[in-house]
Amino acid sequence: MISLLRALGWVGIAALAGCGGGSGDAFRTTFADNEPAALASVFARLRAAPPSGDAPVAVALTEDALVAWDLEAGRQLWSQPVAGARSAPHLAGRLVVLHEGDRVVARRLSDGREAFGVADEHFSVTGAGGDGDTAAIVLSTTGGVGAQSRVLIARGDGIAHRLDVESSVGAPDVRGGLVFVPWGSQNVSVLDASSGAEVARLRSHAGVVSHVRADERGVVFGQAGLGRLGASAGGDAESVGWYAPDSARLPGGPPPWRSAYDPPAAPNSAMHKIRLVWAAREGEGAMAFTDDALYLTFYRFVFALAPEDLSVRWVHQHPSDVVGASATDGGVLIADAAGGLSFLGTDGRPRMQASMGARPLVVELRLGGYVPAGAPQGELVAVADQLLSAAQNTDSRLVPGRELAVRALAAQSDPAVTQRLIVLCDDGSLPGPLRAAACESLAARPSGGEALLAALRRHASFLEETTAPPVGPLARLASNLSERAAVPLLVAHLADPETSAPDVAHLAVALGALGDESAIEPLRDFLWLYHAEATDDPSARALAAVARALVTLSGPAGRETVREVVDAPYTPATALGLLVEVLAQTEPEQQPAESEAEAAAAEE
Amino acid sequence: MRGIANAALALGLLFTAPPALAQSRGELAEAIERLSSRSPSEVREGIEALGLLGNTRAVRPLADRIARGLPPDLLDMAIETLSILGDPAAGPVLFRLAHHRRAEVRLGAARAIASTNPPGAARALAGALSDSDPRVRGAAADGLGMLGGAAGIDALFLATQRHVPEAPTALGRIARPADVERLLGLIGSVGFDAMTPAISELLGRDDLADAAKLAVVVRLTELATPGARQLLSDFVDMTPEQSGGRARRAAVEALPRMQQ
Repeated sequence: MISLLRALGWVGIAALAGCGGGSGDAFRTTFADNEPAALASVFARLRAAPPSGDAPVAVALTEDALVAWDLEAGRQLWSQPVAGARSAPHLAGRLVVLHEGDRVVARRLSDGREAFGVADEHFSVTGAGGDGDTAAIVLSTTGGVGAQSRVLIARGDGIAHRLDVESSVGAPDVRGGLVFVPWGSQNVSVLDASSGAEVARLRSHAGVVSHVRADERGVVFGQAGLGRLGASAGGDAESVGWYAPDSARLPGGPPPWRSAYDPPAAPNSAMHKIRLVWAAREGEGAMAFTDDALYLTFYRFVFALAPEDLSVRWVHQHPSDVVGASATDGGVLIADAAGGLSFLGTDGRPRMQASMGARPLVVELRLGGYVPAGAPQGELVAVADQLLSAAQNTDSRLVPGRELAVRALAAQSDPAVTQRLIVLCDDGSLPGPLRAAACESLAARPSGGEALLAALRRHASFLEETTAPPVGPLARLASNLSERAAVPLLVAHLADPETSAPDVAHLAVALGALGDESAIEPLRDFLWLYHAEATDDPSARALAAVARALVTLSGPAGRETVREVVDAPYTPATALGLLVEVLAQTEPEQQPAESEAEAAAAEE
Repeated sequence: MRGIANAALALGLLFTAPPALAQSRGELAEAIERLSSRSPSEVREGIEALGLLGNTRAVRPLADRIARGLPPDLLDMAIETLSILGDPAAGPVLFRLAHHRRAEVRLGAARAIASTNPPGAARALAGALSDSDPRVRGAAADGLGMLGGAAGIDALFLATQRHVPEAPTALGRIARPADVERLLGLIGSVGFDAMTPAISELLGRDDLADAAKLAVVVRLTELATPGARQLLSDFVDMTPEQSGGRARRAAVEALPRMQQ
């Protein structure tokens, strides 16, 4: 029977199954959506469904093989050669589905042997899901207008129903004899797996729906946002507990689910390495997640994020790229490109590690209720140090992830974080934008005076093999913190030739703001000594900032000095204009008596 | 152009300035007056005149003029003039210029500090060994070697370890007997070739005790490399037998063995 199905291909399967049009009203636009009674009935069937019993498993796709790994037993189940894989593997109940060449092949998870296969007819596999011996597989042209799709419902080792849909269809799932099929961007049709008939339809007004995940924790659907089916679910956001994180600002901007209406990612696509991973917490109401965390995998980084604001709880740096991940209660299981499996606990430390002995391109993981056991490995490192280390990772692909680490570090209120930001701002090997972000964050810190002073005490020295600290951001920080103890240190950097002209400008602004008169003489000396050499723009701006600080600190006397410099014979034109501006902007308000006298003089 | 003018200024000082004229109070006042001119050419003439007059009373006005800011060419010229005048009173302004933002100014200041030798000169030059510009570091090392004394010796040791090319020579010039073992110890870390100038300087000094030179000879004999042999050979050749002491005798005895 199976070989015959293979031989006949797609159309033959449909004909043999006798279900080419057996779906009744399924996917028809006239089908009533958001019917409370129908949805409540579905919800009731879900609650009554027995545990799926599907074994926790990892399925790894390598360059030339599909490998199944028993997570509980920690052993390989089987390995099958594959050629021309075009998709990541999809776990669907007791099957694993893979697009190979021009065929879509379903293998038994128990032994890796082919259960059935169909010609793809130029369709892509947009998703597959299953529960026990029931599986749903969706093939589609992908895209929006004019899209065509096919939904296959398999029972055991054969296809029971085939439904052709004149629309885009996303990634389905199965639970309790019900098939949940997202389609047309906003619908979730619920089909009875036995008959293929549609029994209910949810139409989402909350956001785009291209995926459904159905398991013991419930039914979750969505794409950039997530909602879940509850007893009183309707189409509105509130009734499905809609959750839409601003994940576009994360490195790579992965949404909770990538669009299943787009062409699927190739097995070696970086998309498999840049993902948001999560598991819904059981319950109703607003969407909630196991351990109240989302996980972002970004090549070798795994970030644990708070769902409410995507703030970073911890970051794990992995030795190789993460090509698969699955969250569960107590942490997240990751699979890497070297064949490793690691379970990261709620504090980010590995608790279990294993090797599958293969080098996968992508790994599909299914944990079910399984939680890998093991004690935390290694010392718990402070989050600030984790973030500092991540920011300093030298893997050039990780720059966006490193930027996230810098932002996360800056968001920490601990005064000790200032020291870490100084290290980053001071690190000339960092990419420009990353270092700039660190310096900006440093300048805006609300605390860390001790670290500031310690950093300012350092000067560049060839013999001591030290470099100048980031004087500009430190000066801004000193000003923000009103740290007057920094004044003599800033003055020392004013006289240090290693202080760049832009940093001199920041330094002068800080000296003016800190209001310590001990800076007046050094500022005046600087103004005179360098006024005749300020021929380039940065030097001229530095000179103007020094002049302004001088006026701020010494008032009319400072203005008089600036005026003398303006009148001096060698002041370059670039600097001259800026110094005149300083004089104009610091012009004291005219005394009323003088104004009156001038007015009277004018009248006369 | 500026270099030619400065060279002319230096030559003028050496050969052409009649002392009686140069000491003229009127000319000094006139030159100082020119420093305040708004005309660059007059300021230049003023600086040149002060140099030619060779009067150390020119130092203060010149220092004041520098502190009030000069364009690069005039500033460089003013520093060179201070250097030529050779008055330690130029110390404060030169120390300040040793931290100038322009490396050429720091270079000129380091040289001028060495030639004027104001109080604190060695400390200032030791500091300049840490300059980011290799020319300034070199001038600082040369200056320390020229000044003598032990004030900058630790910095020179460190500079030698940091491969400042001019440092070993300076070290060889100013090392005390107590420093010789430490100096020879650097052969292991920076290499014999880098230390050759230092050893050569040590052996050529008249003010270094025979015992210290003997220690050098012993170490060179132990090394027995062609370079070590060449140094000993040069030492024997340059040192009269009667004044060579035990060090020279040891070198004479060692050379045939090293040849084998």
